[in-house]
Amino acid sequence: MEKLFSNYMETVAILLFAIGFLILLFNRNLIKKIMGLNIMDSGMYLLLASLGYIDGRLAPVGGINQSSDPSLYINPIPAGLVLTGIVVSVSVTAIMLSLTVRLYKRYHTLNLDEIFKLIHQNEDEGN
Amino acid sequence: MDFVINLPLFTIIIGFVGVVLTSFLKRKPAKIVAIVCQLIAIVFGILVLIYTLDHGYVNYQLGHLKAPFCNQIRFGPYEGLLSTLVPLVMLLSLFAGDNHTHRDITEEKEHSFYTLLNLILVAIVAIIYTDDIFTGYVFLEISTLSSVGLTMIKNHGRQIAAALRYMLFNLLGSGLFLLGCIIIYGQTGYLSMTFIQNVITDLFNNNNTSTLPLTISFTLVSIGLGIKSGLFPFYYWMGDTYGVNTTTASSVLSGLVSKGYIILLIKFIYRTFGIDNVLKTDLLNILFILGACGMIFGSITAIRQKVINKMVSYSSAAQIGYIYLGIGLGKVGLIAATFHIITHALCKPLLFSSSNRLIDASGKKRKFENLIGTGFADPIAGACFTIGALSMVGCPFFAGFISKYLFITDSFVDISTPTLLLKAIITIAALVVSTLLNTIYYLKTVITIYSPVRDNKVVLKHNHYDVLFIVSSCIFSILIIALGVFPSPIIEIIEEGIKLLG
Repeated sequence: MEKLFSNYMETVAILLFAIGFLILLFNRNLIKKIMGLNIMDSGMYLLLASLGYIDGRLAPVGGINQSSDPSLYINPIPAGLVLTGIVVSVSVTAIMLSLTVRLYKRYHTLNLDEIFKLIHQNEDEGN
Repeated sequence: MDFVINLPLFTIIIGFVGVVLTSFLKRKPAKIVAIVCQLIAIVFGILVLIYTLDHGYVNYQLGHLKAPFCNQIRFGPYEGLLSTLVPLVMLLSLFAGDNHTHRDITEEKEHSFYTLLNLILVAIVAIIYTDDIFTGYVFLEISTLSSVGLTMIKNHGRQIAAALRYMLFNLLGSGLFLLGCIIIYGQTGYLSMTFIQNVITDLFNNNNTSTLPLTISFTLVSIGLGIKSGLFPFYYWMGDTYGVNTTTASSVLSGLVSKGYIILLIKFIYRTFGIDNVLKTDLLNILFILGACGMIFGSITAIRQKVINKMVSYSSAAQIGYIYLGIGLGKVGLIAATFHIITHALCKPLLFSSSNRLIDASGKKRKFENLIGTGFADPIAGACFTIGALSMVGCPFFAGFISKYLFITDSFVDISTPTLLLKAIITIAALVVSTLLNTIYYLKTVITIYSPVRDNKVVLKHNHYDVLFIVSSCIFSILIIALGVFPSPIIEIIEEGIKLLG
């Protein structure tokens, strides 16, 4: 238990990941699913950012801090990875939203089960 | 010959140039650009294969710094073989489904179709070559996004819903995969596969440190990629994603994209985790069992389908099960798994393109009862479907037979412990049951398409001759039979590649 509190960043990150993952898996509302996706991604980015953070050190930005001594700075690689990850998740969210809009225009519902029910109905009528 | 070491990078760059060009060109020039990119990728893949067979593995570093401070590409015969296969299958699928592409996709959208195909080509080739786990993740997502685009290209309500479901599964998989990668990075401090493997080996050999986080990361990565590639029990999206799509898209998605994820998993097991470390956990056993279940349940799901395309789609679930079974057998089984990747990549486009032609012959009716006699209405499609089906069933002189034979012989190479003996027995049992089920649904279809039409009301449409379809399906058929009759060169290349892989 003590370990959970001392590594609170990781704990919160995994909790966020689990919440997001479960929403993405079980919630039937498409918008909520997309929210779950974003919560899951945030959890992962928090975990990644916390890996590179070293208490009491500076942000590795040239120009503001003049020293080139690497021992003064936090690890910049996870920050770079988080940025890449954010770009990926933004594009994924955009595509998900566009799919949702198209489905809503066609079936007038955001519930995935109802959408599939309507699709099957249409197909049976078509045959 | 040393310039060959630059070719993997050039393949990726030329692919990306093709992506940019096709996105604003018109339909015809876009198609030409896509074909040229694929031809270049095939030639480069062959050159890389020949070079690496002579010179062994090559570490190619991007930038002036040495690894691990730069992004690295690492390739050998294994990568060379796969990077030749991917553009070859994609090009032939493009030709085989060309007629349907024009019919199904509106003219103003068709150039986007080629953009997406090129993106998938680049993503899979990059996944094959990369030595960096995060680069692997980024290209994995590129491949996912472009596959979703390909799934919804026909713009029917059903397809959009299928694309959404496909995307949801893929996102779950990507999330787990990324979490696994982050834990690996946190534990080892590297992103380069070579360096990660050294650290992981040290951690596993040091008895004082806990290997639990690494075991968790192995599991997360495997489950993530398993979900994305359609491993049992995550294959229920396959029917809609592959079954209601245009021919080329179905062929590429089932023949290549799902294989891209499996190739990444193989790279993770052999290059990142190290097979000796993975063998200390139960990961391979789990993959083995899930693979065996996939072989049987995928086939059962395929039998229950009433529509030919969906049956072919769900048969992919069974074939993916075979590949995971091979991976679960360890280093010996990887030869069979890789051979089956090649077999399935060649058979699936042939089956999809010929079954779609048979559907055309029946007057666009997709159910089995409407397909009676279509083999006579379109003899070439009927013959091609039969060749693909015989190969999938495992008939001698076809590629599928060799991969099934390899699964059995590989599983009995080492039966020194009770677990390995049990695995060998399960392999045989699963293969027998799955082959029986395969025979039921494929031969049932072949018998249906060659049954004489008794109902006088049924009017079959004689398809016009499509030269591109005939040429590409003949090449697919020749390759399948050639692999079935002379498999040894490919098996030797795979063996050589696997020796140098880990």
